[in-house]
Amino acid sequence: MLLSLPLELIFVIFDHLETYQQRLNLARLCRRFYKLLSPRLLSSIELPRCSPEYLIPLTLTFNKYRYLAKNVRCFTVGKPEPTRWVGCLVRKTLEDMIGEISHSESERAHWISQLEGNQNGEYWMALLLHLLPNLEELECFWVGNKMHCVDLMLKAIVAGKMPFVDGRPGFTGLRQVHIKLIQSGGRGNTSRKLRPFYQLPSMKVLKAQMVIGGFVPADQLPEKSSPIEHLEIVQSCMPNGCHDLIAPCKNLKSFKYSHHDSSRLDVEAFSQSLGARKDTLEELSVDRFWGVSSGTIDSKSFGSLSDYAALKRLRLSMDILVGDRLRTPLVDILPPCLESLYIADMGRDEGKHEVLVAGLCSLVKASHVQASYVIFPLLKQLGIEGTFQNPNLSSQERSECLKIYPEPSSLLVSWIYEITKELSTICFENGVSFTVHDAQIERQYTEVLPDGTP
Amino acid sequence: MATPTLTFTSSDGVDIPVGSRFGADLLSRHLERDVAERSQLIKNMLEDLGETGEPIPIPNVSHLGSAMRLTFQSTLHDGNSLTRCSTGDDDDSRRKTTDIDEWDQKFMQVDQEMLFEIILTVANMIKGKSPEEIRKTFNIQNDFTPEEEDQIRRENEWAEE
Repeated sequence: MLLSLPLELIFVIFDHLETYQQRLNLARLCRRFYKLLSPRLLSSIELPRCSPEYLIPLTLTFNKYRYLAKNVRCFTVGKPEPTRWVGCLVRKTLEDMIGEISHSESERAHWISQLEGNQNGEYWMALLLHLLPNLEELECFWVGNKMHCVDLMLKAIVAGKMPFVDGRPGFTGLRQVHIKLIQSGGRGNTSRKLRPFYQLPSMKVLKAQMVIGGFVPADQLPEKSSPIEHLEIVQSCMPNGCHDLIAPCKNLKSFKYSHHDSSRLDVEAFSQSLGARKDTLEELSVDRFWGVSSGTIDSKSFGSLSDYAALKRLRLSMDILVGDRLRTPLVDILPPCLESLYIADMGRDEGKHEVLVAGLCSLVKASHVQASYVIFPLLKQLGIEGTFQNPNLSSQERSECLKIYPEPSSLLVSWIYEITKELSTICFENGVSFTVHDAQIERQYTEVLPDGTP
Repeated sequence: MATPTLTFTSSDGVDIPVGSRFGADLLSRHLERDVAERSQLIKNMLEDLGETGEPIPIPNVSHLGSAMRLTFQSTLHDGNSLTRCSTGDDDDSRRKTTDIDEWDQKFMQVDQEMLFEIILTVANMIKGKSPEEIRKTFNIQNDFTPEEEDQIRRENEWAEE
């Protein structure tokens, strides 16, 4: 019966299996299934840790059977672990591979010297990367000051010095990269570790966690423009407003940043960096990583966003949006093409909440088709977020309420519903979806800390 | 004269009348006869047996819970799917989603929930079983040579726990 199922269903069943072993067991039932499913078997590989234990067998297999490595489209590697001793047999293979990737004796000597001093699995990671010509998505950890070999490999690939087995330049299909940086001693500038990805021709999405940036003089900015359209720099500290990361992306469509440092978030610097992309940005999110005290925020606001011609989705902390000028009418600083507005971190001051809610009422009224003048004809979603969780709930009541979250319930304190009652009605009348969120619950779902957080 | 109700019997003796939940959901938009005759197997049987109203036995189709529905369904529709699936390795790589004809597309839209249930049922039947056990469950012939088996083992050694 299994053999008679339409292929589409066999593929869906294959995708529903949970482990590589289960998928392999299905693929190896008969010749036809193996021919059909073996390319899919390797299209997405996930290794639980970046350690030789996992990397060596895979690298050796792909080195021996290069046709298998061509199937890999997505590659995910967990956090790094200290290496074990590299045995003689493996060492010989390793030296052969180094001979293959080196373009000169000095380059070979350099790789060998890296091998001698290398204390983690990144050496194998570097060699593995060069075996994956058709990689489209990469997700891995980066140890801040120790990824020498991966850095070397990336630089060689970007410089066109690392042709793959069929002679093509490397990573021509890589379009999405998610790097989780880990600082290991010192707090060097890590944003430059992301630079090689900027130069790959098919890159569209770059996500990075725990990036530290420093001031980059204008004459040291990357000269080439980058095709990256979506940039996420979260749980990071970029005092320069991510200028060096934003400037090369001439067609930046979405930008997300969450600040994670005791130093102040320089709102003006972000305003300047992003202002240069006001014609292309469709989605913008800037706030603080959960748990960083609000006192670290600069009191200056982001300034007017009304001339961001393409901006559809906006998420900002309240103090970034309006700063101390809480009475600045929101209708004057938001762009008319806005479809979704999410105001994060409303703070604990109920007086400020009421002023903001009144501003939001005016905003929604200005999106009404029957208003005397329509400013926000596309507005469809409105969300506010603060510390609203009801502390008096039992764990059972809480888990029950979470099932319907963010629908109104006793999960959040009652006063927030009271002060937003009129806003909620106006939203309903105008076809705008309105939701109230709690910051802690949101972060539990959206910002998962990497295991290796120091 | 009214056309007799079509009823099929699986190889392990379960009657599935067209017009039951399964039939009503899947086939209501089509003439039952038209749909059934998309299966060359059933078409031939209907011609051979005549329209007696008696249940029509479908050989080599066992009743395995929800999975049976799918077998039945693809058997019904085997004018395309059964033949396509059994004829050839060469065609496999070319068959993409875009190749699905209109009947298939409507069929897929009919009861997504049931289809999902079937997919999960089959997936659960595979989990926790060795290839040999899966072959036994689904009556599949192992057509690998020992050398091919060995090559597959070596290609996948890296994933062994």
